[in-house]
Amino acid sequence: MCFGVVAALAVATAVPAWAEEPSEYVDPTIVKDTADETPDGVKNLGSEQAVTKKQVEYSTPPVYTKWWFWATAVVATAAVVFLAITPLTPKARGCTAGGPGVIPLNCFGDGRAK
Amino acid sequence: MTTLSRVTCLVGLATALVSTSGCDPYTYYNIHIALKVDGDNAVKIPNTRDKINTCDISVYAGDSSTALESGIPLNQRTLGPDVSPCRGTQTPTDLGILDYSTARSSGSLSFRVNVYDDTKTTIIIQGTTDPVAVSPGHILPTIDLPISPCGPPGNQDQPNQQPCK
Repeated sequence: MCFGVVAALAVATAVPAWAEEPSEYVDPTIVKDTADETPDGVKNLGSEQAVTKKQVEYSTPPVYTKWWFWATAVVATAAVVFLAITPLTPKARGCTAGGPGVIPLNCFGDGRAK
Repeated sequence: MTTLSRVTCLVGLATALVSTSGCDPYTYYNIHIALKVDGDNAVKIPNTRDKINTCDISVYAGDSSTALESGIPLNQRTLGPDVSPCRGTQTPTDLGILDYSTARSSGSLSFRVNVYDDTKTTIIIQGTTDPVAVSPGHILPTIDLPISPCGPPGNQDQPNQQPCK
């Protein structure tokens, strides 16, 4: 009986392993003031390397870098302006002077001044 | 594309622009206008000529009644823009040659001269050419346009005159 009482007390006072106090939770994203290391994400923040854009590389150079592109553009623009202010239809020939003893009358029609 | 071929393209473009503005699209008519003084329905001198006061010319498409140019006063351009050949007794038998240009590419034109009396509204002498086909880029042979008295029947001086159109 004495053994039974001792066993009962032992079971009653025993603390199971899963019932122990949990360790304190630590947020991994929080950087403590006491931390010696700088997180990787902010190590090079603000440095020249971080803001430099990557140069785009083309298989063929853009056409606007060619001299003949701009030459053609200038010629085309000049042609459009010229045609806009100068009619394609040319003026008519000069008026005939008549002949010996023949009086020249009116000289008019399309391509001639009114 | 090589540089040479690019330059060739530019030169070709410039040549095309110049060549399109180089051709002559006009047909040139020379109309020789004269009073008909011989034969049937001739202008009586001085009876009819005395009545001449002013004259003009109209241009028609084909023989239609739609005028391309209507009532252009005739003038002797070497003497001035307002010097009319139609001046009563001083009206010459040979009025002169008129120079007309058209940009039409097809069809035909006809010309009509009207001579008015001193009312400037009554036609007393008239003449019309047959339709003459346009021929762009060419100066057509001179077309004779004799003009004769016209008006209502009953004119004893001009028993054979035609009605004015």
